[in-house]
Amino acid sequence: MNDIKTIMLVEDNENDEILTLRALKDNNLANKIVVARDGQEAIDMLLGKDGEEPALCPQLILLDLKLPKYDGLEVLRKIRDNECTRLIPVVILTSSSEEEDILSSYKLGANSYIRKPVDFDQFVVAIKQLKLYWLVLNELPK
Amino acid sequence: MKLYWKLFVRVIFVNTLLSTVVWAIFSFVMVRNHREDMLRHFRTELVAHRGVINRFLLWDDILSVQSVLENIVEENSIIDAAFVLDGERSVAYTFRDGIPSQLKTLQPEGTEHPIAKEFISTDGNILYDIAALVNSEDVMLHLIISRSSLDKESRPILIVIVLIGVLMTIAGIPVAILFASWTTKEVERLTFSLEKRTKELEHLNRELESFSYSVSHDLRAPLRAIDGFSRILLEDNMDELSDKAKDSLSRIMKAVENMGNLIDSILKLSRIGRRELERKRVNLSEIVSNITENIETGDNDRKVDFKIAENVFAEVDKHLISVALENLLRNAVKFSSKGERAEVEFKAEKSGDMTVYSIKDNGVGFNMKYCDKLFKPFQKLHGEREFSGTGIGLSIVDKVISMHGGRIWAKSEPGKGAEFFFTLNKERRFS
Repeated sequence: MNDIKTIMLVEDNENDEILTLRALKDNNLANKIVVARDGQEAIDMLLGKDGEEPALCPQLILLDLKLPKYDGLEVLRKIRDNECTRLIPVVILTSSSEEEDILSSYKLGANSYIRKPVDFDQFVVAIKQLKLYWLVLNELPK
Repeated sequence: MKLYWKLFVRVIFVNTLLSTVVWAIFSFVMVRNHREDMLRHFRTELVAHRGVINRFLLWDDILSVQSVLENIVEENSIIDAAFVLDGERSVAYTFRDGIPSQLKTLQPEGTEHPIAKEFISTDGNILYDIAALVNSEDVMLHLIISRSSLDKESRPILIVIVLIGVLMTIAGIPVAILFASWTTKEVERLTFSLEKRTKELEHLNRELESFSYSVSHDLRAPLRAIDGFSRILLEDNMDELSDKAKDSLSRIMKAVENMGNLIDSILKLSRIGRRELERKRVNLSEIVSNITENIETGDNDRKVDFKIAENVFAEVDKHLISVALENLLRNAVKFSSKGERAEVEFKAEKSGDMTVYSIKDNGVGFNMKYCDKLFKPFQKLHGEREFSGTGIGLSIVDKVISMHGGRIWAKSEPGKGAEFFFTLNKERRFS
């Protein structure tokens, strides 16, 4: 529960993982990035596995919705239900622009919802804005 | 024999095993004060089930009541008892294994009908008379056979069979044409098939939803990878790649962009079809001018003159009509992009009691012989090199207009611009 500068990326698609990391790198992001590849792994890292201490408390979580084991919405619910993780900003980063997904995400307490654009250049721009807002401008409780 | 018959027919059988629920229903039925209401109710039932009347019998004499009942009682009959009244006598029938037998003459000839009273059958079951609920019409015969039963889960169900007879004389012989409607059985059958159908539709709907979800999610993911890695390849190897290789990569990325747009358009079309229409009075002129501002900022190089009729109001779904207008306006701007000065006009005109809205441009236009293809999905009248697009836009517009009950049509000539007309209400047709 110490590394407040870590960004957590929850993404099961390898290509998307590489592209997101690349987009973060292209934006000169200095933060450490930890990747969880399914819902269970993300929950274990954030809330602790089998009663153990959580492995990290990231400054920002980039969460895909369609994930193996627990899907993104379930992960989000668990994050918001837990006292230690409920204040961490969660940005949904997904392919879906279904109204239902957007609504459910916000209802469960997502801070932002971004649809991954097909165009990589647009994605890099989106990541840039995301970084500027959530890691530079936005103030979180200490 | 006097040929003028007054027949009232009524029956109710209440099984002693009835649950309290059915007892409650019957108690309600028995309350005289509600007679009129119940009469109305039964008449509504008769009207509602007119379509399922499925028997046509000749009734040659009052003595054949029993044979008529025999006829209408099927092998798997659910009738336990029937109570029949006519102008001269009252007869109750009981049924054992579907075979009717006379139970007891309830009343001597010549006396008045007993109305709404209880009768005890020989086996101790109580028969309730609801004849008083049925009007005494001279030429109509009503027979209501009712009983209770238990379904497979031992829940009580009430079954009502309704017969309507018309009395008439054919060649001097009195006949009653009897129509029988197995009301509850039919209702059960219809209810069952309706439930089945609803389940099928729900299933299909879920499939459709999961399909569009997959389209939006799964089909876009590989596209993103193709585009992303092409760009990375281009970016990281800018110096080493030949011009030909760079050109190939940019073609890959262009194709990916087109496919992304296509997927988005298909999703938009399917989403529009699933939406419920919410009509409200909205200012179309405002919507049009908001859209045109965005179109203008999206394309700075070129000036488009928009002429927008003011204060055009309509009762429409604001979101859907905005989608339709945006597609029409973007088309108008796109297809007039080759000219020096693009002019796009939105107006509304009265035509009879209808309002016809239109969007006109001074663009390349099209040959009217292709106009039947205009509103079909994926149909394009111009090559991709000339004007890019998915071929879905006008299908979306058509869908929105038809959801409003209106219609859309166009007029054009090559090189002379195009004008799209639409209505937003059902047209009244006079025959």
